[in-house]
Amino acid sequence: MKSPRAFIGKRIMIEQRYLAIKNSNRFTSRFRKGGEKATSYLSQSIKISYAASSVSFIIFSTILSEPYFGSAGSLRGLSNLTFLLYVYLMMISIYSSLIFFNTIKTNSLLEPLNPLPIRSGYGVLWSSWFRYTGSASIFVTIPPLILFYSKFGSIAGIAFGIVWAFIITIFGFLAGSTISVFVSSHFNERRRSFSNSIRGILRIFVVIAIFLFFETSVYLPKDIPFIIPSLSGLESYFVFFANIPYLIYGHYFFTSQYLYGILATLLYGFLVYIFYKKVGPLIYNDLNTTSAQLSPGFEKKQFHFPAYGFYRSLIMKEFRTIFRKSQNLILLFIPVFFILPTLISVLFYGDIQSIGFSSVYYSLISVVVVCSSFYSLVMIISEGSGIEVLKSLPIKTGKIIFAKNMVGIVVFMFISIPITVVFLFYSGSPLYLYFIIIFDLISAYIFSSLFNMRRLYRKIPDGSSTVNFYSFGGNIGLAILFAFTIALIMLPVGISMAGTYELFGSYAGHPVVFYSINGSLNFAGLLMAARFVRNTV
Amino acid sequence: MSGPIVIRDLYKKYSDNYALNGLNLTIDTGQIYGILGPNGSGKTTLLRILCSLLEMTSGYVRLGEFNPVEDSEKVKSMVGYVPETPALYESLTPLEYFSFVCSVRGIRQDVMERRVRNLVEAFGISDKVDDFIGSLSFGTKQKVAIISAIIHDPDYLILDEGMNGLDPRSAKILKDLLQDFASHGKTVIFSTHILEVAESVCNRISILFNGKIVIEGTMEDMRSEMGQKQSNLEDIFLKLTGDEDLKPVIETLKRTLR
Repeated sequence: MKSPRAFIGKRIMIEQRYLAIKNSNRFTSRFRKGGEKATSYLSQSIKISYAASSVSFIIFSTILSEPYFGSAGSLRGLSNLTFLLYVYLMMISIYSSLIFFNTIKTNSLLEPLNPLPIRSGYGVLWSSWFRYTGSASIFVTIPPLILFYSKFGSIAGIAFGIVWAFIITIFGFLAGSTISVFVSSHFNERRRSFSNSIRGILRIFVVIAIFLFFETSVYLPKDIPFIIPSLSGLESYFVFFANIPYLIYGHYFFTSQYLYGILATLLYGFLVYIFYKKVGPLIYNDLNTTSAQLSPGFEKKQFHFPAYGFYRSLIMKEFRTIFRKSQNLILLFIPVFFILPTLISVLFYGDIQSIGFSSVYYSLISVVVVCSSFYSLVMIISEGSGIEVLKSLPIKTGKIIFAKNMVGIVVFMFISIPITVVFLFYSGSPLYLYFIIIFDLISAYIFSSLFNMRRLYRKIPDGSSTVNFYSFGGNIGLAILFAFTIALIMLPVGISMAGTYELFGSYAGHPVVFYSINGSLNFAGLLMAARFVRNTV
Repeated sequence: MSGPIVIRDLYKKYSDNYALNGLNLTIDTGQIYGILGPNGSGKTTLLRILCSLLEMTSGYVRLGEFNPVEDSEKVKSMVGYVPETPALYESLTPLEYFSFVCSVRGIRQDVMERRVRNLVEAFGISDKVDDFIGSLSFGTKQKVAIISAIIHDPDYLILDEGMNGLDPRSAKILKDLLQDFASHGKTVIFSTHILEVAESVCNRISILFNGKIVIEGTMEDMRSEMGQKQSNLEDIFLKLTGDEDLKPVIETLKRTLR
């Protein structure tokens, strides 16, 4: 018989997939009853999703490693790429575990385990996540390691690389679960109050501040003492932590680094293990504490009715469900950290005034791509079982999509406007360009997210009583959504480039023309998307 | 416009099995109609089709003059639905939730406020209206779901196990409300496993078994059809769903547990 822990781990993953499709016609028409066939179908879908994710990560990483094939590729370039891939691995691990814990908490998946004598429940969650989701992203680090081996014949590099990938994955999981519990405690408080809301938002900012500090330590270690003067002289420890390629490859060239590499790996492995052992049970206990266990109270209440009106109520409902459930809010903010490495490297390492407006624009448009893809998904999966409420009410799909999009627009503006202003300020752009570019980016965001949301909403299986990440194909669905957004956003960019080129014979020296054409196209796209969404049944 | 519910040759197929297998039924306005049946007999499927939450495989269904497939929005505006498990936004408070539902349903604010006040007080949850729904007990969530289903004074009220989790006081209030609904020419359909409730509240009852109606009518109709003048609904139910002789099962169970 399979070990109970392995069984529970698998069951938790199957349950998440099952909840995503349980009432869909597609599933119910194939499986009226559960049993072996249905379980094997769900297991199969998990395996396929895992295989597809692994292959996509390998392809993605191989494409990025391509310049370093052959004799021309430098070790420094390969090291930089490896560094970026490990940061990417960590971000993916954090985000993926956040979604994993969010689904567990939202659907109370641990409640059936409460009466059971399970030791180290957190370990069960870790193995469930790692076996069926998290380990797939480790494949992103494999191609540069193999490339290094094929060039220099160092097998130790592969060994170190894999050990570090494992450590980073556990670290990502620990960080994701800690954030999830940290931000969710706000929602579990019983009463709706202003102070609760403030505390919830402060928690989000604490998480963001930690991320910013971490990213600063990775990219700008010498600036850490400016933030925390007492860390002066210790910045190399942060570099040390982040300088994974050095540890992986350095020993090959410097014998003395070999021992250093092993010790560093052991030390950080040990620290992560201690963190896992100490924090894990606390997190598991928190996940197991259901809101129903909170003690009730009694007091005669005055009724304070909230703001009223069709659109107002619809939009306020979206804001409330997103902003009050900090897990959802954090899912909206975290994606920005995926693009911060690019933005920071352009801002601080590149000579922004000489790299040209197209590079600046591509950096900014990457914010639109990431936000449009993630927000569209998060706004819909945040419905959870509320999708049954929405479907039972006489509201047109188009109106639901517009209301959901409003929240995304607000968060997007909150994030993108400061980034754009900083970028344009550093690049010495004239003031009028600020307005043109901000208008351009917001139009691009709205039109692409409207199309994305419409596409996702229509993909919700008929008869569904809940929606989660797996209702849209999990990681593969997200990758497709990403590709779709890039295609949507790059279409006007391509036309604008061609148009500017056609008019002036080059587009590099005519930013105003380029942005004006692009902005007009994005705005036309917005009007088209709005019309398209309004007519959605 | 409210009118009778007419169902003809309704089929709903899942995989190789029919959840509803050629179901025919007419429910007149002003009735409290009970749908009974063992687990998996097709009750929830039928109710979800009536609410326009699920598409049928084939058949003819009308609520008044409206088709739940083609006139989905209209049907939803006329129906109040309480699902088997309350599906609510857990991060809203009951007051915010009622306000959201009423705005979407186009109810005037003053009407909404009056109804909410009366209903939350009647169901004894006025001290919970500012709590997050996620922190409420199952029974309170069920009350929130019931209030949100009746607050727009629907023409058709459909409750799937609507009495689940209710305390005796709230159950009594709900029963009285259902009778009041019916007396105003509205139609109430509810499924339940509590046979005493069905027997005492419903004007007419259907028993579903394997996706088909095995008996339909008033209690008197059913007794005379079964030829058992003294039998109660439990006897009829068990007889028609093949579970009438439970003694051997219970005996075996007792032996197993010993």
